[in-house]
Amino acid sequence: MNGPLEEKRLEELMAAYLAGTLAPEDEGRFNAWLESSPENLRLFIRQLELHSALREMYAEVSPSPRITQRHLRRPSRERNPSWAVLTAGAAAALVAVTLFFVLGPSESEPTLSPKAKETRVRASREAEAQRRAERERMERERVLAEARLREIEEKRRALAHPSPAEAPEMREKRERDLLALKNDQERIEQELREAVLAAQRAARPASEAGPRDPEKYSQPPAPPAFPPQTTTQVVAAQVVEVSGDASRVTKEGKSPLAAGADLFSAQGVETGGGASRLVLRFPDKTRVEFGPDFLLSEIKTENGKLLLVRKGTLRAEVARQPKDQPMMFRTSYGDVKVLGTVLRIVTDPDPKRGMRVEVEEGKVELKNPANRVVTVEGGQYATAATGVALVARPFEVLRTIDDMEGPLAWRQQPDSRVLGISLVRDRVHGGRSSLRVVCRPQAGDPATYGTMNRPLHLQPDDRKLRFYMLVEESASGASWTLQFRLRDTSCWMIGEGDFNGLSPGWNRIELDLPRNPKLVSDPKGPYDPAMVEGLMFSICQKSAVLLLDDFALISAPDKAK
Amino acid sequence: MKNQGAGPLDGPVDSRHETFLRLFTGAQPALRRFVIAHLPDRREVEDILQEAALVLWRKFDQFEQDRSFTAWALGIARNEILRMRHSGLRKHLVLSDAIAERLALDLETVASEMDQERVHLQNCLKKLPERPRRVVELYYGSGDTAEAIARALGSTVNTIGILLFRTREALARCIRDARSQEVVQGGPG
Repeated sequence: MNGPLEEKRLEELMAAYLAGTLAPEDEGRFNAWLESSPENLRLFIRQLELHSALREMYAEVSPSPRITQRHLRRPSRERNPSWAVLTAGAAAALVAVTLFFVLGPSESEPTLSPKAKETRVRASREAEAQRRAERERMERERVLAEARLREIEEKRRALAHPSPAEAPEMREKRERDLLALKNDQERIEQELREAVLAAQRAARPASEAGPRDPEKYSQPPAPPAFPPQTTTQVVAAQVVEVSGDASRVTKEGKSPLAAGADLFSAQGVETGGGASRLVLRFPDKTRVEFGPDFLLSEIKTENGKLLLVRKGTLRAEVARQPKDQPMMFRTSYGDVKVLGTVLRIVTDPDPKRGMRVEVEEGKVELKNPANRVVTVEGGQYATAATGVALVARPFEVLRTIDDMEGPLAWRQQPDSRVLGISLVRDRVHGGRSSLRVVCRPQAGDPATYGTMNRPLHLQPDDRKLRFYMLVEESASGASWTLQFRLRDTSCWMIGEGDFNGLSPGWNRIELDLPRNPKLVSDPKGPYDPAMVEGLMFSICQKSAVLLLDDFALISAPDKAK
Repeated sequence: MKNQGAGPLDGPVDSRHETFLRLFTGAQPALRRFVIAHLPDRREVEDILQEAALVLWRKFDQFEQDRSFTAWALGIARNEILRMRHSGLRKHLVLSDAIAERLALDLETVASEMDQERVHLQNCLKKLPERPRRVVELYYGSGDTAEAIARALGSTVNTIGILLFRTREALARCIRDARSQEVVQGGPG
């Protein structure tokens, strides 16, 4: 069931879709909404049926006049020649004015650098598309203006031939009507002039837009000079690093991108597969790093920075942003509003995985398509995805593997020195018991170490191993090691240290799980975390008595992905 | 798999043509709605439909009789839309594959029902207030875009879109009421 806000937004999206005005960045959330509930899909199908039925019904009857032609009437062949010349001339003049301003003057090409020329060619293409749309609009306006002028001409013709016996009051009325028609004609011409100016303003570069003297609108201004290269496009960011394949994405298509290139507003970037990577730096020093297979469809800079993310993983170090102009990342799964932070965004094509936002420092606001908002702070992450609650969770998840509160899970390694292993309650780190390990080497021990182990299985996001150790006594030179034992019985070093280096009392020991640990026993095979099946703790060389407690694995998103 | 059994599809061309026309005519409303669903405001709809009809006829001997012709036709239409995307005429399709599949299933069953309600639709249109009716006539009758209508009426594209959305909902309600009235009275008047 949708809430009132969701319903309103869905209504807007569906209306936009059927009107052909759905923004590309809304397409994902539109689909997600349709897929999220049968009710939404039923509404869409109902709308679609009516939409189709109306189109079909109107297609079968003779087409209604378009807006631009609904007042069009067939012009009389008997019209007054002077009016015909006047109206046709007026229309032709207006068309000429229209085309002049919409197309712009053709000036000789100034001398430009190759880069400036490239920029200008790009800008020209975009401007041409805009001009084409404006030309089409102006053409419709012209047809409408002609139609209105013809109407006026017909009415005027009817009034131009008074009856010989016209009464004075009728004559006065006729003259008033003629004057009104003249005023109408002037008004239409003025409307068209204003439309021309509006088209001209729309075609002008954003940097030139701004408040202008309203009085200037009453008369066609002088043709504008060709805009200089520096004002044709706004530089949004600079490409500072590129590895592998990277492309600039524009409305016209894609082109290769290299370090040092400027990226303009309304452009995007795409990276290739494998190890492809691209780093952008914005003028405020904000740094955004895009991973492989990334697609940023567009950067908008009108009111702060808006990055439209289609797929992939990015990491951003966002400089402090003006309060009213936050940096925004928009994906089909939601918006991320940033005021200044270090964060990472991972998008997945699977709506059930959606987008994960991890905040290393600072604070961001994440809004999903249902307009639900969650604040994600440093050390937290949140996921916007179908069927996943939008909540901030701790960035690191602690998974206890042995708090020594249950039965004894550690076992003596048979081929090692004999250890004393027991759960004790007199000195604990937390809870009611801890593990006491006694290692007192005896003459004739087969090994120089005493080892115990317990079962352990890793999960893909496990990054650290944490445990607590208290040393009751230790001989000089005594040390410890922690190893993973794999299913093939090979052992891999995870961490080691001297007992002498530890403080009195409980010591927290946190070990980063190495990606490529050192192999310490046969067989020689590749290290695979998924094959880990045991944790081994050893006391080496000399005697030691110690307590161990609260072994835990820390899961955290992989920064290197 | 190619159809190999004896049947209307294996007969003379005239007979095959007739069979094809019969099946195609039956599937056409669903086909049109399916294409419009993907291209709601596009003039390419007719091009796609024509192209799909040609492909359907060319591949008609591959049509398996035990399948639904409409489902087959919708699959071909979907391919034509995808082909248009690859040819660069349209960069992407908005609707996901999952939604397209659901639509195809739904349209197969509901397409014919709507045709019976054309009379109700015409009557309901007459009952609309002036502004929505005018916008509907401009949008569907004149083929003006939402942008053009917004400009002409001094409104915004969003407002026009929402107005059209709500008008369609009002028409759906009106048709539903008319249909229930029809049931009460024992048939369309």
